[in-house]
Amino acid sequence: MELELRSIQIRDVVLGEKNSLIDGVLTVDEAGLKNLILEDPRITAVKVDLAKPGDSCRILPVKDVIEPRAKLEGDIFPGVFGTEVPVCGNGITYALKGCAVVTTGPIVGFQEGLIDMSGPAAQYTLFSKLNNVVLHLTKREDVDPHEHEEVVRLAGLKAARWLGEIGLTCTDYESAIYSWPTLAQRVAQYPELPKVVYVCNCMAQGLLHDTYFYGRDAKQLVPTVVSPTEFFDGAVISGNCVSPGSKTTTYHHLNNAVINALWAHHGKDLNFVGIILNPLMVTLKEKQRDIMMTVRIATEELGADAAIISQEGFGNPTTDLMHVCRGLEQHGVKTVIITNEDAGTDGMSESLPDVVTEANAIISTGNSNATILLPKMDRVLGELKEIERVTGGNVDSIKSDGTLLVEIHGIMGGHNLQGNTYLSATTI
Amino acid sequence: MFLILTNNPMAAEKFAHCGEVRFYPEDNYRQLLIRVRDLVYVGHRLQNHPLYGSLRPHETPYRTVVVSAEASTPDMEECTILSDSLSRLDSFLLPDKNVMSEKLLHDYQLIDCSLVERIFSA
Repeated sequence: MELELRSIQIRDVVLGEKNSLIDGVLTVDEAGLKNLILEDPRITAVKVDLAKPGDSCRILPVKDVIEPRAKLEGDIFPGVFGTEVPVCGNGITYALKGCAVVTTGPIVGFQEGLIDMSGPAAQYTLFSKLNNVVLHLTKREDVDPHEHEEVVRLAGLKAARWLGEIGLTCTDYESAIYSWPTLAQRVAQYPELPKVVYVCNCMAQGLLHDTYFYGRDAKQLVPTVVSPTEFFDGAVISGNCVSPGSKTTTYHHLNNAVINALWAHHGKDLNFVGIILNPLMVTLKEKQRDIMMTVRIATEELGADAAIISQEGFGNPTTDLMHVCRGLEQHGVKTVIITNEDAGTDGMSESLPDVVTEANAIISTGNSNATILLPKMDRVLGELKEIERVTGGNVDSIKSDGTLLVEIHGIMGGHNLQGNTYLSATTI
Repeated sequence: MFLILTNNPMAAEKFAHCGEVRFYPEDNYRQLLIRVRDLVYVGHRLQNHPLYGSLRPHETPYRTVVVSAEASTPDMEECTILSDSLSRLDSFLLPDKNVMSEKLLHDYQLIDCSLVERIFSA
């Protein structure tokens, strides 16, 4: 596989009458975008807003964040649209950097978290640094919550693809070539370097707790070997709307921080030999199967010397995380895990619901229960009253003076478990 | 073949055909897990992780945990999962259903059902 990723820096986004991209300014045909979204008869209204870095603006509840991308030939987000599932991970892909599509609108309670474009919460999320095209969708009354989730997910992806296509004629881009030969060739390429495998845990449990692989529900998936370039082309999509701080948005999957870091070291001090996408299921038997399979693929198929596991979700996924770690370590694979902690508002509680002694190298992305007081914003995109139902918020969150008290966990991507976050642990 | 322990009225109704439903509407999350623990300790096999889903224990009041109807030898791993989950729960202030809106309660019931229904089709 070989993918050329052409990254175009977007320095501003404006709404206008015709799509264009000139000198880093993305002009979005507002009416055209609305018409595109309204092609889905299950959507009765769509509101398009812009939220830019530094704006006194709060977006909530956020369902997903998606970087606009398109392929010169073929489909970005393969398997989501159309009747066929095209090959992806090859060819040429365009990515509009510095901007994103953000979807909002109530589905059921406790959806996603919030994004503040300025103020203290802006320091916790990389999405505050983007020029965001915010879609607020209203569904037809008879559409049930499961279908509503699908409606919003597809609308966001459709908009991101449509905006990405504006970049296809742009010549001012930065090119990066990602070459991913066969496993045998990768192993032979750097025989002296330690072989490192990345285990990407993803939620696969039910409404607002799902991931999609080639457009299909990951609950039907077993641990699967995926190439980095498939991630870059949107083969893995987020449908996970609970746990906003530790949520892996589609933006995170497209810009997977672990993959990017491994790629930067590949051929220098390690040999990046593969990625295993590991679905985190509800039933214990499926968990046991997936733990066993992930360990087996990493050790017996890919021949890992070392591994990194990124986490998603809260509670039960820690069992998957810890037991994959144990299995790998017992096979002699040096393993590092990335997870957040729930140590209570004072940071004094036991922070993980499951621990094994083999987990002796953990990167923490922070304590999700720590609270933060957020100032009132001039503009709210979405619905402020939804904070009661957003993870990390509660009925007392909105103060009489308009300020907002939430857990760090309520901030979208606040302690992303792929490590794509501004939070980190320090030794005191 | 299943015992379905729940404090969720929607789950009690929806999964009535999937096994023997034991509905405890007054239980909180912790009380329900203690009932589950006591069954696992005498050899009923745990079907879903007690901390399933990503909703935190201080958010949702509803839980549905499924064990095998038949009891055999207690599984130490499952006993440990229960003990660890209970100790994890104790660091959270459990929610009060009385201060939640009907809409929110309904949504929590719905999500609970969605997360658990996989057990009966897997």
